[in-house]
Amino acid sequence: MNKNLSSEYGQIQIHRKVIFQAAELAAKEVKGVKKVGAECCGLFGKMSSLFREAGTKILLNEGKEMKLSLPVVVDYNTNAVEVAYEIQKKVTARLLETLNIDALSVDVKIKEIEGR
Amino acid sequence: MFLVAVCIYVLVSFSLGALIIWLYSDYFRAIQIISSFMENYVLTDLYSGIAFAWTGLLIILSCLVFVKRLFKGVRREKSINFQTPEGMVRISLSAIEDMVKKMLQGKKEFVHIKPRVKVNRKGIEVLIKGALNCEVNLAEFSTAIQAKVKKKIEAMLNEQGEVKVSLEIKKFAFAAKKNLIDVEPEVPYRNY
Repeated sequence: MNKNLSSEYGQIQIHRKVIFQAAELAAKEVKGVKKVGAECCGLFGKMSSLFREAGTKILLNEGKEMKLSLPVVVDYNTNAVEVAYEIQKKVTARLLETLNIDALSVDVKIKEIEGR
Repeated sequence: MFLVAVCIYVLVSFSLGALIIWLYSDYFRAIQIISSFMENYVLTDLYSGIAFAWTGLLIILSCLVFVKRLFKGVRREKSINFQTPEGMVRISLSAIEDMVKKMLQGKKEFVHIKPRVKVNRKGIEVLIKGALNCEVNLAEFSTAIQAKVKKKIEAMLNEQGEVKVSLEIKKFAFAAKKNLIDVEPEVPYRNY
């Protein structure tokens, strides 16, 4: 499921893996985030992510809003909801800045609270 | 991926059933055919053996995917959801349980803690099951714990609904008695 853009010179295809990587890297930059994506689900999650069963998921409808679902593990010493808000803002801003993706909804799933 | 897993699951189940029926009806001939197939095609060299083993592993993984998806509708991971302008925020109940456990683990009064979080229409219910050190004032301690946990969760969730904290003490753990060795008192000025 790739994002397609067109310019006067031709088509630009952005693979969903690029979108995942940009979103996960942006989420990792937020203070209080320990793990993002398939790392949250352990060994089984990493294997399942090969078959798109765990980890970051994306739903893209042509002409409509893109929906990104991002599982995270946050630090114990932070406010989990505030961290989630920061992640949403950062990922939205980063995907707009780097990939020109404007119609985007970011769902953050806090799987675990780690630390201490 | 789910459709592929279903097809593999059905194929494997069908093949296994047919194999069992075949073994029952003509045991020796079936064993002979299977062993000659294995010798001539599978175990000829190392690479074909490895490929055969990897095929088995992939079949197991696809069956696990099928089973997982089968139970997905029955048992959903429960979470507390917020809607924000940028999307949805979901906090799984296991994350809140982890947070409560880490918050209380440092307390010396607790020997063992097991929190459980439930969400209903009224709000959030936290049940903390644990074992306590017997040397504690139960009334004061439990009130303090309930207030602390409630305050933390309300601060985190921005007071989305009522938070009810219950404490269930399963056991009192007694401190281990020190083994005192009886020592005879020495008579003073004995060795002069």
